[in-house]
Amino acid sequence: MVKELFRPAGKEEAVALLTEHQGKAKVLAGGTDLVVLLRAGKVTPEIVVSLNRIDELRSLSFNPDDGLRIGALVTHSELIENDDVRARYPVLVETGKTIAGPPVRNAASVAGNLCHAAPSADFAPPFLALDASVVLFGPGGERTVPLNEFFLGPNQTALAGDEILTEIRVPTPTEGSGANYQKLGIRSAMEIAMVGVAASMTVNNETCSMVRVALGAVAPTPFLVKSAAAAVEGNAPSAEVFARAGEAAAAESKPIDDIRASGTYRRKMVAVLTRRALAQASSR
Amino acid sequence: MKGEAGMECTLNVNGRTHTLLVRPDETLLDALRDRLHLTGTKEGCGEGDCGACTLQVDGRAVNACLLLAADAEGRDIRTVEGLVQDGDLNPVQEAFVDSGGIQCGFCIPGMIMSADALLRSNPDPSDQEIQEALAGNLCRCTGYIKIFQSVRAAAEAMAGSK
Repeated sequence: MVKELFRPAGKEEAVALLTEHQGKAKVLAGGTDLVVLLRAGKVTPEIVVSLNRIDELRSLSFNPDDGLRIGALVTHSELIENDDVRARYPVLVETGKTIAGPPVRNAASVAGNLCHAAPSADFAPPFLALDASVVLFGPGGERTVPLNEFFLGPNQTALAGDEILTEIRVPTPTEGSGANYQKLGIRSAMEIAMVGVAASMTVNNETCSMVRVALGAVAPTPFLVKSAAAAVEGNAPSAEVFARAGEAAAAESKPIDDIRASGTYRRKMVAVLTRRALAQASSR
Repeated sequence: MKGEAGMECTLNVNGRTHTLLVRPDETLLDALRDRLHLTGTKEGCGEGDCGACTLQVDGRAVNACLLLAADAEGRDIRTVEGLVQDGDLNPVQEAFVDSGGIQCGFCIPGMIMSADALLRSNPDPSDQEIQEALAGNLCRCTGYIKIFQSVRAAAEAMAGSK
């Protein structure tokens, strides 16, 4: 039973509350994951610490030197509608549009999608493919963690009990680079991914470089598939090369059977979606 | 097990200020319906999947079942009751009535709040944009054709009256 809701005005105050109530507190941003869990009794914190009065966490900005900086409270809708994101990171726009529906996107924070760390979190593969990192703030101050070190297990991240994520950072895309996210499902909205594949690469002089392939919903965490990227790196973009990468990605995936799909089907679809994501990324 | 309604919060709903006592984990949906008796906003699934509880916060369509009432302080909350102007239905409400967009009516306040939010930011939406704007609102009465037609009629009525 929640005994108290705190609404601190600054991140230091928020962290102090988390330190004081460590183990008994949950952090609230958009609420589209936490409030569902609270109402279902699946989490039972005594204390909820809302971040929603901390205005510095609403910032969303881009500049060519620092790249894209997404504050912890920036919503899915705000990200999708931002001109810099649309121009430079179209993969984030197309990913955001696959998530839930407008009322959820208007409330849900992008950072929350990563912090809740569902194995199928749709923003995880694209941010992994874009080489993003996250800034964590705790009693000891700030630390930056590469996103590929952030996911530790289903709903488990590198966040300590007294830390909050304050910002997602994405490097400026290199000239000639493109990225794509493929989400497998049976509906066109309000759906959790059966399989998610993101690919990113730079193509110059008919050669693929800086290739990254990330998978979601087919393992305990979203993850980068090094073998798939290696199959493409240094080669000219072609259907054959992408098909080999698809096979490599499928071999490394560990999908389970669940109500949405069987593991066997998911593994086959990893190969298909990896080919498609690579083809789309190479043509941007 | 529910805790005490011991947290005071001030909510700005449909342009009026209300101070009330809520539980810390009480949703905006429950506070509006049970304490302010604004029952136009409905509970369908209670977990953000059906959209029956859609209302507008700071002009954006959101699910009231996913917001904590005490965390909605300081924000501009508008429910379907707040669309009525001087006793008249607003153009979106009127269009749903005139176009036969309403069957049992349960999903309709949520549909109207999503449609109204759409038309405020995009007065001339394509058919695709109307469908996408309502993607978070489910109708179980066979909906959706007349609902989309109602939104189209509302857009035309609002354009025509300028």
